[in-house]
Amino acid sequence: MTKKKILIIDDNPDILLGLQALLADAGYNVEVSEQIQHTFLATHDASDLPDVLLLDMLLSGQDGRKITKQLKSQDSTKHIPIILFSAYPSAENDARLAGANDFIAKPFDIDALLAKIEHFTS
Amino acid sequence: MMLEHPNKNKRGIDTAKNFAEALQESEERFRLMADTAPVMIWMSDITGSCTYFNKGWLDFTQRTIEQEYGNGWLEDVHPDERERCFTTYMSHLHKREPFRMEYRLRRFDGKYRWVLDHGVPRFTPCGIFAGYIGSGIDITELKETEEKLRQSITERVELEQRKDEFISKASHELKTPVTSIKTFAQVLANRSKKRGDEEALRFIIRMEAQLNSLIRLIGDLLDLTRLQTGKLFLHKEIFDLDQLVVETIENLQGTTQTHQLLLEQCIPIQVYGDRERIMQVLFNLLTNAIKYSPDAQKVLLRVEKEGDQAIVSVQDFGIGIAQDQQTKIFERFYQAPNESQRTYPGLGIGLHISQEIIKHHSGKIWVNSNNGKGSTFRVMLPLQKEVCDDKEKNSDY
Repeated sequence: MTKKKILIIDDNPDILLGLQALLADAGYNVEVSEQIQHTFLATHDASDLPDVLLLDMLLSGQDGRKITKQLKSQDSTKHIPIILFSAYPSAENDARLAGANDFIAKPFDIDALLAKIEHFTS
Repeated sequence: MMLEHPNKNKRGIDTAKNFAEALQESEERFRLMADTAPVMIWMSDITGSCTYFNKGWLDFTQRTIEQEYGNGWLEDVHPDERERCFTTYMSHLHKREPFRMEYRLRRFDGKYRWVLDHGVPRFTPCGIFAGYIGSGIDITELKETEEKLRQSITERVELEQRKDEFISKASHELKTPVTSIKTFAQVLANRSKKRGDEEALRFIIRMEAQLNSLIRLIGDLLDLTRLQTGKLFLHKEIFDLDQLVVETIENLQGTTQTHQLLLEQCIPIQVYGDRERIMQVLFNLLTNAIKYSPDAQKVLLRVEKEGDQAIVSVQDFGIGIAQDQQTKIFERFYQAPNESQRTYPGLGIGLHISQEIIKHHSGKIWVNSNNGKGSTFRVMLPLQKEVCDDKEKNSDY
């Protein structure tokens, strides 16, 4: 069985490294990126779409909400489940309004995060 | 024809003389009063033309009464306020209404001073309008003090806002490293478990517990800012309070090896509120109970119903709280007055936040305690039905 692909975009390399290890240990195929330029978002490579996208709400110079809106408005990408995350717990409402499928506050409740990913990949 | 009494004319002359004297005395009395009063007094006729200025006015402007007569006084008024001043005066005069206005009046030294002027219409005993009488006082210092006060309030508010923004940003910045540390700790815990490395796992669990304390601390700082700015949002729902208490005990029991958290009494009760926030309050009360009873081995909990209220009580057998401190402990940044009690760690915000959370559930929190004999904290929450009925009023704020 092929592993489900999780793409994580966050501007903090340590968070990426930690999440990558954690999710890889949990059996996922994990790709990480500090910038959207290196992902399907910029390359528009349809064969490169993730099964779940974990996206930081405030990337340096980029707004996760805008990216979410854009992805949800395109036929080729609107099916991708997007989990937005932020250190501001009150940002959940904004995340929902932007069209995100789910939200999780930093620092992550790891079990809750794994449960959310499992929900979208099962 | 009747003969007039010979003294009748004389009496008439005497009466007229007495009346004139009385009038003159009254006039004199008014002038004496007006000239010694520490205010500026003026009078005008029915057209609004000024006919009298007291010594206080003339001393202030050091102009002659002739210069001030009629509308001459307007020359003393600051050019920027002259028109407004005259219009206010004349419009009230037409309506025969009292007025009150502030304007700048030139003092003898050329400096403009703020004057508060009250004018009232005068009427003869027959009710005929006779003009105005008014009095003015120098309120420059009052205005300056007011302005300074306003400025200092504005500065204070700005400073408070900047402080709140700083705490909010600082808390946010702290969360980023904490997130990665927590994730790494979880990875290490999972891998140590797989390898069967019990010692490493034990250390990592302790590390995670400390990390959770740090996260709670950051959360408390953020909550404090939210309370200050009125942005503590609650996500209310109906939930089982008894189950929440059990869950909180289970979560916390693993972090203490010294105390048994014993649920002495528990009945099923549903309340309407923010489950996470109520758990935060219980967590705070339980960690305090453990912290302030270092020589005790147990903390007792009860979940009861009293009339329309659900009551959760947390009883410890620790150092207790003096009578005069029992309300103060809920104040922001509270620190115990006693030196030995200050050796306990803490920022003095946990109980304040707890109280605010409970208040926003239309509940109550209080303590019964005796110095050296332990404390019992009680949280009272309205039962589910009552709060639901009142849902709109107590919604998120």
